[in-house]
Parts: sequence; C-alpha cells; structure tokens
Amino acid sequence: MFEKLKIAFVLLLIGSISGGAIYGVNELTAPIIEENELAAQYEDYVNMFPDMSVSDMEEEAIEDDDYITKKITVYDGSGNQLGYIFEGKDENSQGSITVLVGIADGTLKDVIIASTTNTPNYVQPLKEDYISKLPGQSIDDLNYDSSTGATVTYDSITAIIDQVVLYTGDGPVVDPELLQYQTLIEEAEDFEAFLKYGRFAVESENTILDSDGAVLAYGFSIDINEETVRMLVAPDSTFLGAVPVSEEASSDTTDAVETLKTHEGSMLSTIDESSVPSPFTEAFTDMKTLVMDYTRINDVRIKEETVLDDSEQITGFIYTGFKDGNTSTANELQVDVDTDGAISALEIINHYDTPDYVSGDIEPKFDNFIGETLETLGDIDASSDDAFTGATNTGDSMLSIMTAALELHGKRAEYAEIYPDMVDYEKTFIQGYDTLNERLSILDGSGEEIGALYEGFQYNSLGSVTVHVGLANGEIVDVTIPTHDNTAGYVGDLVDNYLPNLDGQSTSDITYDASTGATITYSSIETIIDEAVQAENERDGE
Amino acid sequence: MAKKKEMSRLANLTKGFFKENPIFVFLLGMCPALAVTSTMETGLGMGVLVILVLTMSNTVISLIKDLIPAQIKIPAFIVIIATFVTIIEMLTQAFAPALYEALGIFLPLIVVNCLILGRAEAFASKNGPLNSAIDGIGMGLGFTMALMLIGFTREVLATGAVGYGVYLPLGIEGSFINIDSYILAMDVFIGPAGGFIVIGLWLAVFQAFSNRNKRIKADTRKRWIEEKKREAAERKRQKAMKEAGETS
Repeated sequence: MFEKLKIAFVLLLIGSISGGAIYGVNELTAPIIEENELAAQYEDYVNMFPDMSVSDMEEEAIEDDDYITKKITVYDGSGNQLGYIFEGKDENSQGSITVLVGIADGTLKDVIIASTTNTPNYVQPLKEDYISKLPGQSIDDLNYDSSTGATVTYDSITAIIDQVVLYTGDGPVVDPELLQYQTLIEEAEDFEAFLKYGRFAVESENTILDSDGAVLAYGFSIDINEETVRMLVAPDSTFLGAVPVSEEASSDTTDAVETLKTHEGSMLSTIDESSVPSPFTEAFTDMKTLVMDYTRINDVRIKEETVLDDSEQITGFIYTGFKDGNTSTANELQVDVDTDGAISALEIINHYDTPDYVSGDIEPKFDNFIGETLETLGDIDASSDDAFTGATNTGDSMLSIMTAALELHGKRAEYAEIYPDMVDYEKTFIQGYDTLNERLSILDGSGEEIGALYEGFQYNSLGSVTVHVGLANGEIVDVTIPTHDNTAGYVGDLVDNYLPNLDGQSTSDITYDASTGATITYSSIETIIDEAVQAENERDGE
Repeated sequence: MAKKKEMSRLANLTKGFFKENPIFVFLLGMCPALAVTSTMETGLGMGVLVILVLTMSNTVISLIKDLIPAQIKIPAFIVIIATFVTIIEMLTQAFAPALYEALGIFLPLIVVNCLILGRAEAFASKNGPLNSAIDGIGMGLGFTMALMLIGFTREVLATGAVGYGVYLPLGIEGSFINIDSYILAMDVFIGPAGGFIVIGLWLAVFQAFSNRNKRIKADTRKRWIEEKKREAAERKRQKAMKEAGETS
C-alpha cells in the first residue's frame, strides 16, 4: 500500500513541478510570442502600405482556394481604401512558402515572402534580384523572369500571384474595373461581360450586378484616343455617370467626364449628344444608340424595323443583330422575317471572322434557313452537319442572332395580338414603379399612337409572373400573361375565365373579381394593372 | 571481481564526437537528422536545443534517480523530458521565431528522440549529476556535430553555399563558401532522398575510420603479442643454455 502511495506521490510531484515550470515559462513567453507574431505580420503589411491604419484593416479568411488563404482590405486613417493584401501559401518540393501580395489600383503594390522553409540560398537572391522587379507591374500584364535559377521557389511565388490576379477578377474581391463601377453605383458587387463591339466606339459592355445577382446597370467602356472611360446606364436608361479608367487621364477626358456628370440621373433619351464634349460626342452617341435602339435578347444586341409597302401595309420585318463570333468582335447579321414569322432572307452586314470560312461555310448555308421559324430553328445546332460545317464559332454567332431575331419577333407578335392594327412601336423604360418595366407606344401606319402596352413583372409566393396590359382611350384593351411560373391550372383558369372580363373596362373604374380561386396570381395582375393605369394617367397629366 | 574502470571527465565529454556518436555510430535520433538538416543552420539550431534538453534532463534525472520507483522510471523520465522540451519550445518561439518556424513539428518531437531517453536510461539513471550533465553536453555536441555535417554537405551540394543568420538570431545574415550555385544545383539533396544519401555517405566515412582504428589496434596488439612471444622464447632459450652450462 505504501509502495503504491509512494508511486502516486512521486508521479504527482513530478507532474506538479513540470506543470508549474511550464506555467511559469508560458507566463514569461506568451506576451513575447504574441508580440512577435503581430509584429511580423503587421510589419509586412505596413511595409506594403505605409499609410495604412492597422486598426482599420479588414481581414477575411479565404477557404476552398488552392493558394489564397487570406484577404486583407487596407484603409488609411481616414477610412479611404488603399488596396488589398492577399496571403497565399504553397507547398513545393523544398517545403512551404507563404507570400503576401499587395494590390492597389490594378497594379502589384508589393510581393513579400512572409515565411518559407525553402532553401535560403535560393530565396535570398530571389528577393534581391527578381521579386524586387514585380512591384509596379499591371496585374493585367505581368512579366516574370524565367532565368532565376530558383525555379521551385519562384514557381510557387508566381503561382500565388497568378491566383491572386485570377481571384481579383472572378472571386468576391473587387477588381479595378468593378471599383470604377462602384464609384458610380455603390451596390455593384459583380459584373458579367456581355458583348464586345467593333463597329462602335463602345469597346465593351458589362452587366453590373448587385449581391443577389440582379441587374443594376449596364457598364459601357468607351475607348477614345487610347483613353478609356466607363459609363453606367440603369436598365430603365437612366444615365448613372462616367469615370475615367486612368487616374492620369488627359484634360480632354476629365473635362468630358465632368460634363457627363452633370447629366447623372437624367433619362438617356433626354440628354443632348452635342452637350458632350469632343472627342466623346461620337462615343456617347454610340452608347445611347445601343441602349435606346437595340434590345438585348439573351447575349445578342438586336434592332428591329418594320417594312411597309406603298400603302403602309406591313410586308415584313428586318432584325439586325450583333454577336461575338470566332473573334471577340461582334458579327452583324440582318435577318428578314416575313409576316408569318419565318426567315425570308439573311445577309451578313459585317463580320470579323476568317473570310474564307464565312464565304465558304456560312453564306452558302443561308438558304437552308429560309422558312425557319422560332419553333423549327430550335432544333438546329450550329456545330452539327446541317448548319455551318467547318465554321462552328462564326455559325454559332449567326444562329444566335437568328434565334434572337425570331424571339424578338415573337414578342412583336404578342403585341400585335393585342393591337391588330399595330405597324410599329416605340419602347421606353419605366422608372418609379414597383412592377413596371417598360411602356410600348403602339403606332399605326402613319406613326400615330393607337394605344399603350405596359409590361409588368412581379414575384409572388408561387414564383413570378409577367403581364402585358394594353391601354387605349381610357380603357383596358387586353391583359395577357406572356410568361409565368405560377400554378399552370390556376393561371389557365384566369386566362380563360377572368382576364377577358377586364377587357373594355374603364381605367377609372376597374372591377376585379375576387372569386377566382387563383388569388395570388390575380393579385399580382391587379397590382400591375393598377400601376399601368397610374403610369398612363400620370403620362396623360403631363 | 575487477572493478570497472571509471571514465575520465574529458573522455566522458568527447566520447559522443566519434566513439559513441549518436547518429553515425548508434544511429539514434535519425528523424531530425533527416528532417531538419537541409541547411547547416537548422541542424545547428536543432543541435543546440537538443544539448539544452539533454543536459537539463540528464541532470535532473540523475538528481532524483533514487526517488523514482523502478515501476515508473520510463513515464517519469518522459514527463521530465517533455517538460524541458515544452519550455525550450516556448523560449525558441519567443526568442528565435525563425528557427521555431524552420524546425516545425520536429521541435516538440524532441520529446521522443531516442537519444534523450536513451541517455536518461543508460547513463543519467546510473551516474551522478555532474557526470550526467557532462554526458548530456558531450552527446549533445556529438549529435550537433553530426547534424551540422549532414546539413553542411546537403546545403553545399544543393546550393553551392552555406547560409547563416537566416534562422538563428545572429544579427547578421549572409552565406559563405559560395560556389556558383548554377554549377551544383542538385536539388535532390534538399529533399529526404538527399538526406538519406548524405547520411549514408557520412556513415561510410565514420565506418571507414572506425575500421581503420580497429585495424591499427589489432596490428598493435598482434605486434605486442609477437614481441611477448619472442621475449618468452628468448627467455626459454637463455634458460636452456644456462641449464646446459651447469650440466657440462
């Protein structure tokens, strides 16, 4: 018994003394260790951004990335954002390496090896002779030196930098272009490339999205005299402003941007192009043309015209579309559509793809598409043998334009069902209403307005519903539901039995039937009709 | 029964260098010998830490060896060693953070280094504190020498230079030897394969010296035996001559 107690006591004693010793040393070293870690960490940060405020920086851990582990947003003492620091790690054949990459205004601010277990005699020359060449380079055009002699370490560093650049473009990190958009619209969280144009001074067009992926605006890059200005236009065609890409823009550019700022908040249609200083007059006009005259159908810009004979009867329609082909410059195709909604002629107006392919593989196949409608065209694959053999990329752009043209024609056909005398229409965007997107002024052969058609859209508990409301002479002409994802049976019942009851009712005294059984969808329709009537009354009041 | 001859303190201190070198003779502590010897400086850093742990643990174990019951000798030794390793780890992290980063997991793994526990069991638990401390210093120095030799060889073969001041808080940073690294640049010596190759080479060198010493000792002994035989034969011959003279 005594022996066992002795063993227990000895173990207790040794354990206690050990614990006490470790506690004492920990008390001594813990603050020093913490200080060391912070000092090492912030020393690198401050070396990159000397004006940064350490207490104001925002750290964000990055997960699920092969290299990037942390993103630090850096601010100065006044809260102005200075840039970003990315922490990247890599494991290579010599061990591990942690690299800090600073990004500011689209350039590499600095690259610092925070820690590494790679061979010091390789790392030191890398720091002195090669990494020192990286700061100041544009992240869009990075030049690495392949003759370092320390390829393992250097490859890790360049891989991390490349990942930072990629992450800057595609990840949640704001890239320089988005930063420029954000100066005009704070809610911008992302953007998607839409199209690049060759014919216009508009270099490219992006769709600006909010955090939910909803469209906030369209961003146009306009390139004049090798200087780029970005302009933003809201979906309702409100001009949101302009910002030069370069902080060292010429006085011509900054003057033009200042003038454009005076138009912020105005509908694009009301801005006089001549008020925009040269050399941006033409570019602004092009952008306005794109926004005002062309409709976006999927990934195609498309413009429509109605063809009339001498007696002002419709003989057909012309749709002109732009779509990137094999190159990033858009091809332009004219699609003639007859009154039955079938393709009657095709003509390439401009193309930027290989001429031999276009003349040999594209144009000779056009005859195969004559008579195609939207329904039958959907069965054709550009890459299949019956479409455009040998020139699939160019063919794909042509097929996209044809499809967009026929889809737009389908919309026109919907309008024509409401207004059989419609010859043409003019579209204006609606702002200030919860559900209304656009108003179509329905025109007869002489150009007189014979009615209006409002398009409204609303989310409800069953999904969403799009409603067309035709108004003319103070009466409801027709109410249709072109698209919806509400319960089909209920909507069918509404279309058959309840919506016809609205036709012909006076807009000053609309009687809705509450006994539909499809109250959710009907409620959305009521809201859209009420807003359409309100908008029309306000318009008449003006 | 003859009393075992006691080793002198100098012999105790120096035995770890060649005669009982932990790595090249006993093949103890091979894990850090491979893992932290990609540079000479990391080898030196690990070696210094092992000297500290080994000396302190040997001393303490020697002091309390009579208090520890035989049944709990090993766990008690491990607790004592682990305590010193933890303390050394904290101090390294506080005062030599670069070395701490470089040694990584191998620093806490000193706890299970065969050399430390081996000397505690084989020497410290049977000798006095002073001799145990000297044993710890001597074996630690031998261990350090071996790590530095391996690290030096690997670093030179891989990079053509030997750096200093990168991991240890020396206050200056640079390198010496500086052969054109593009001529050598044998990256294999940075990795584990290179570690095995270099350790094998050094083991061969030590074995060759050891064999040579044994051969010299064997030759010396052989000559001594022959001399004794010759002396005995001479004595026998003189005795025979003397007996023959008396007879005549």
